[in-house]
Amino acid sequence: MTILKRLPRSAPSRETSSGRLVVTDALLLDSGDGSAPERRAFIAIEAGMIAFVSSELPSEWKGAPRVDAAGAWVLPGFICLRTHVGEPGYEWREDVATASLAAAAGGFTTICATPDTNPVNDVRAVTEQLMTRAAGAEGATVLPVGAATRGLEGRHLSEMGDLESAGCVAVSTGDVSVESGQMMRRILEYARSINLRVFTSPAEVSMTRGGLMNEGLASLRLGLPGVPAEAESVAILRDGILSRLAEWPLHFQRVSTAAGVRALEHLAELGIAFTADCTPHHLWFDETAVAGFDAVTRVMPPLRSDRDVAALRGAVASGLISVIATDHSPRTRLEKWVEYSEASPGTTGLETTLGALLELVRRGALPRAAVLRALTRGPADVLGRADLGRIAAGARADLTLVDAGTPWRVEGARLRTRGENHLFEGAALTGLTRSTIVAGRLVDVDDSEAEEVKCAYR
Amino acid sequence: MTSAFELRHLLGLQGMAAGTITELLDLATRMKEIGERPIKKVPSLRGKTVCTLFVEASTRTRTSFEVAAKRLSADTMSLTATASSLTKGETLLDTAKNLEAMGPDIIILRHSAAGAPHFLSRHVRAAVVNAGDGRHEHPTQALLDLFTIRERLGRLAGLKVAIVGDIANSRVARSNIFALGAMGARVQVSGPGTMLPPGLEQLGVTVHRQIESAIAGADVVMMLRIQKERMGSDLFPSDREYFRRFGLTRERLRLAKPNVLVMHPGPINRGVEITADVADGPESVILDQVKNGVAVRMAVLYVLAQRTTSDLQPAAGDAP
Repeated sequence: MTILKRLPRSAPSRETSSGRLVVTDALLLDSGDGSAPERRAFIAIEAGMIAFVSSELPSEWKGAPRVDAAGAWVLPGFICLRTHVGEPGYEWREDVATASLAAAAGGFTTICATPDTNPVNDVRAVTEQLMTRAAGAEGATVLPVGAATRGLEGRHLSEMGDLESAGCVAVSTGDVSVESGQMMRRILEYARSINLRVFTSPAEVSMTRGGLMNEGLASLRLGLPGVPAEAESVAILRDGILSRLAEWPLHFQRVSTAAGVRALEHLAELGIAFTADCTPHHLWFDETAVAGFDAVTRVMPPLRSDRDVAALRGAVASGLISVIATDHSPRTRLEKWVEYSEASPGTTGLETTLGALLELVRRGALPRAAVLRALTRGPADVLGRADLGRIAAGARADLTLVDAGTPWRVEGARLRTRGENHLFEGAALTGLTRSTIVAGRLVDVDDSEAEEVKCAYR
Repeated sequence: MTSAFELRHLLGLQGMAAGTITELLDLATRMKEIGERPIKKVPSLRGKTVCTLFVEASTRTRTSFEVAAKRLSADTMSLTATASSLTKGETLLDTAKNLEAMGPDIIILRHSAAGAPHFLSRHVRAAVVNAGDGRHEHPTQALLDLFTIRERLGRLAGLKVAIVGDIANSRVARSNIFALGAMGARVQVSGPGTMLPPGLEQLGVTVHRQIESAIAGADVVMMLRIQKERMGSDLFPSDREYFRRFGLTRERLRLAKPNVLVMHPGPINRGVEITADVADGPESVILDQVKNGVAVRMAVLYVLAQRTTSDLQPAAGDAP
């Protein structure tokens, strides 16, 4: 069952003389929008872009370097709207280089870096540093998300215009909602004026603070302070209504409860525009995983009830939740080998997301088209990027080749991330990334170098 | 059923079978007899080392465990630390590993974080006894409560037990709800709405908004200490109002059965959750609880020590 998760180190090398690359025998899937019916094709890549997709390869392309996709699905490269890259300030957990490689190993070609760094990404200088580091990263493209308020404290607007011009693709309120309703309104109004998307993780602050797990039967048994589902639904309703006032749509991150899903449905009934994402772990695990007090199960929002898991799956299937984001939050063992209340919340996710989701598809718990769309077109639409999340002439040559039927078991030590907190450790998943192409370049995610870096930090 | 002698640790009472609990209570009866002898000591645990690690203040529980260990002739060591001094420097794991290097057979842990004993049990060879973890469980307290009830009333099955107070935040309530439920007693809880979390019924108890209906016809009334140190301003408005609404007074106690037992895990806030005349009255078995605590803890140490002799396995990493 154990499969070595190693992508080919092989030729063609990263620098091809012509800047051309051809993916041969590509099985293209319909990702749910009718744009790419299931068919076999050649994908011709030139100068980082898809030149054309065709059933025939013109003779002048015959000499171009090739990637053989026989037997694999070829998908638009995955996009994660919420990755904690650890840099600056938490390099013992992850940095831009390792996050970028871990992302590519998991099939992601674009990751959006959260602003909860140290210092917080609330000024141009931090964004610029990230952009510089991102330019040198060898895997997925890293796009910074700025802080909507200074220090993510929810009190003063950040210099969003500066953040945007330095490269931020959105602003975020951080791990929880903004406490003050008036402040949230101002964020939306100001972001609208500079055309910047606003991400928020709906969690009413006073009901979330101090909570360690879902409030419910399990928390009652374990005596751990709980976070009620209503902390999420209350925040979704308030901020959704404020977004209508400000006339600027919100993107809700990490929706985790049935109550939250109902709140989104209510916003939709009111005609309020929004988008929403959830994480793979909230689609897989429920609160009973906490029973042994293993701190790896401490995530925020907490793992919810089985009813919540079912509601989330329904919302992904229906498209109400149009994005699945990893919320990849690497931590070292030391940050988890402590009392439950002392542990730093979060789990890795970049390299287990595809396998977890395709396993859920295999079990019939999620429809394939919705899942693939939620990793590609869904997040591309949130970012307003018509050149991402699709396979068509003129799109960026971000592609993921997937061996969709391969069963494998998660062994944390084999993953590329520097993080050591794998909620999916030991889980039997389905589907592996065979190769990842970022802007026409085949990523070499061989982990020997990454391993050296990891060791240096241990 | 798991025999009590097969227990590797005592982390909590959730899921413990009635037969296992009965076995521990029966053993405690024999241990209690030792405490009534002129020479209160037997050699059962001679050569064993019992270590108390209290990362949350508690003189009474620690003393009770130490007396229990000494009556069984175990060597005892004691380590106290505030949680803050631990977080400043050494982690709980480091502290425990250091302790372990001294070779204890049993570690008794009191900690303000729920689950701390479970965490410890995954990383040390010694048997771990939970002496109270956050708001989670306090298994030896519940065992001594059951022991005291059984001793006085002769049985547990079918009894009506009222538990009044901060059910949401009480580890004593939680352990008692699990254990009394396993033994077939009917538990009725009451307290201010802020202290009765939604879904309590799923633990097999009935919830009463008024103390009067909870204690009507009760065989046992167990009052919980109002933990001022754990209270935010949002749990109840004042001591005075709490007493008026939920304090155990002599008038209210008349609603219970004539031979009712009044219990309290201590320390008591007289005039807040219970009046002085009830706490010191003929129905009160509060001091019996303290006395029986030693016997019950002797029983627990005794069974765990048998296990550590026969089964010195290496610690199983971090696998649950």
